[in-house]
Amino acid sequence: MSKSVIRLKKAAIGGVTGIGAALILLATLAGSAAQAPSTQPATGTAAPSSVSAGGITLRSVSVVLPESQRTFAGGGAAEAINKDCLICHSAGMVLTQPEMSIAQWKAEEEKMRSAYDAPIDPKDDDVITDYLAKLRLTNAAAAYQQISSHQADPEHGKVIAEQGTVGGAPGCAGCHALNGSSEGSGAFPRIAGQSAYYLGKQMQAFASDLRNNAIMSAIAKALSANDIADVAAYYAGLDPPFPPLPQPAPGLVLDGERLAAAGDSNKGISACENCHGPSGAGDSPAIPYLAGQYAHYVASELQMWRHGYRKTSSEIMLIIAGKLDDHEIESLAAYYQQLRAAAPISK
Amino acid sequence: MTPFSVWSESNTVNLGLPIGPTQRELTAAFPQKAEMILQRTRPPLLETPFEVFDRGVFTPNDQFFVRWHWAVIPQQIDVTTFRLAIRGHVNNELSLSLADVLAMPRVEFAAVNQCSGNSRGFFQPRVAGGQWANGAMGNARWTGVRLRDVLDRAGVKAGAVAVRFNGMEVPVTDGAPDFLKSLAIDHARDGEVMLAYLMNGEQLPLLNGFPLRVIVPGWYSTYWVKMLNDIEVLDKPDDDFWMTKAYLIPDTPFANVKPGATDFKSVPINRMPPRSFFTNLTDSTTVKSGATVPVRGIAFGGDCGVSKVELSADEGKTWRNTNLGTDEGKYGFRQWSTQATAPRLGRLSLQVRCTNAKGESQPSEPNWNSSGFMRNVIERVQPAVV
Repeated sequence: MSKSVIRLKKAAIGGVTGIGAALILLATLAGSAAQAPSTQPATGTAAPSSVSAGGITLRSVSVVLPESQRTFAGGGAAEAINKDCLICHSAGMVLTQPEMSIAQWKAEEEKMRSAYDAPIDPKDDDVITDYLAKLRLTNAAAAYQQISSHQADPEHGKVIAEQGTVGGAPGCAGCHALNGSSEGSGAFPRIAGQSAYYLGKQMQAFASDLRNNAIMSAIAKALSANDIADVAAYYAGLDPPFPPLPQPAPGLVLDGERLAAAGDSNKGISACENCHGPSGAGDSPAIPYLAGQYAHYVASELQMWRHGYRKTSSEIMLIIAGKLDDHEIESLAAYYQQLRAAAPISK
Repeated sequence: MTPFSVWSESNTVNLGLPIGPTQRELTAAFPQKAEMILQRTRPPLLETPFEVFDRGVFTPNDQFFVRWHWAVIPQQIDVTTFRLAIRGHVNNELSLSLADVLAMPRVEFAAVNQCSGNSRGFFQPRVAGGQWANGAMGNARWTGVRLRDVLDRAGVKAGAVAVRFNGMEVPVTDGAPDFLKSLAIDHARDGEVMLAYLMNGEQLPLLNGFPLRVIVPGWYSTYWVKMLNDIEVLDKPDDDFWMTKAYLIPDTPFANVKPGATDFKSVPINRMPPRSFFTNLTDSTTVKSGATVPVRGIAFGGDCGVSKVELSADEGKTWRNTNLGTDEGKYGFRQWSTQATAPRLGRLSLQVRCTNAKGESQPSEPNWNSSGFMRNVIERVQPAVV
């Protein structure tokens, strides 16, 4: 806002418009609730002035254009996008963009700044693209649920979890336990209460070798798409207790907590909470919870991303994990493991 | 995935875009506008619900699509004080009142106004921008004065190259480029380009450009500057942002390039190619097994009239002519109609193809460019047989 001046109208006809727009803009920025534009009647004057010639009459017009009170949801993570973007345009068109890569969003951001004089603070750049990258995941989840025609059967999923399938897939329970809390070593993630969409997407990624794991890829390939949906629905509906685990070093937890909440602007690391929510609660269905997840699993997956071995969808994870060092990974993993109370049950 | 449209009875509509957010709110909250598809509130992007096009070749003013670039839009226009400036490379700079404009010789014709990015939402790979379905277009009967007459009144000086239009919308920040568009001087003086003050016999809705709008028949809507209050005759080519950086297309047939390609020349978007649409059938329509099904829609030739509109019921192997409705003018929509026979089972698969008076037909493969401009692929519809 410091560089650019909100322009009142250029010299033209009858314009209270600029001031009105500026006032409404302030209202928009201050607002928090997402609302549809309200219907506002045109401010009619009793007898609008008119001009006539050649049998045609044109009458003066006075209208009120509706304003969107909608802001980008997400609290602190959305502060920058609300501050920098809603000055010139409402949120609706951004929220309906198709899936775009972070590079595409960065190009849009740069176009807005350099070509259209958008007052985007350069230090907000990554925060805004992180937000938009997350939007991509949530949009994908919504679109998937829109086109998914299979009515998942969690009871059948439980049978698969317990006994495996005649097609050769072993039961999931051997490693993940029948209640989804897994066997406690941390080699296998806790999957209970993770969204069915997220679990199904990971299974499809294992089946297509987008995500590589010798055990899971073989199992995923042995399951049909409907089996995957059923077993994902089964585990999504569970909320078992957490097994007792040794407490990590308090200093490690504190370091992890700091990084998770605030990121590291010097290293260009975004806060985990921007997407995974406060206290690692996730954002079902697109974003998995981390609260209570095994530290061993979180650390090993971050290392996989950091070194480019895990490529499933989350481009943002490749970027962030690529900037983390071993200590940061260890501390994040330790922090999230002990955050048990926050783990949600997905709906 | 085949795009499909579901016309909702509730307050949202499914635009049938391929993957990603496809639901949009329907809104009647905008002044002088009935129910429209809300693409963006500010600056407004409002799309015409597609069923409107089945009701006739003229799009009602209150459901005509709306697209603004900048958020500072005058909400009051006083017709008694409004002035249109004509300045620059002219002998006599003018400031015309609306009474002056109304008193000049009057012309009237029908013309399709279509957004450069109409149908962008169907591009694959998807591209950024307003995710329109097919409703960022409309046809109206425009009444106004010839731009040529206005220019002649000011007296264009020798050496004039282009004519640039400026409307009353203004960017929010002072460093952003004001929205300006220009036409080459010969185009501007061709006797067809119009400054319209009536749309379908009534003054324009404010959001469609009241009180004056540039009408460039056969060319994309970006040149149809709304709320026109300033005309500048240039003695050198327009080097402004909106002509040299924005609204550019690959200089290739149908502005088509391979995704990722960069080895092409770019030019300002210009004339429209032909298009045709089904208006009474969608993929969610059901037809009776073996029934004779009335099939109709609209077509336009682009920058010339419609020569023929053909239907294929065999995946494009053979085509047969449809009946064309009344010719309301070469730049307008033309209704077409025919019949098809539903199969016993499955789906009735139909395609429609317009050929214009220049012999140019719609392509069977969709075009692609990174801006999502100029889509005009042959449309397909596949109603289910019940």
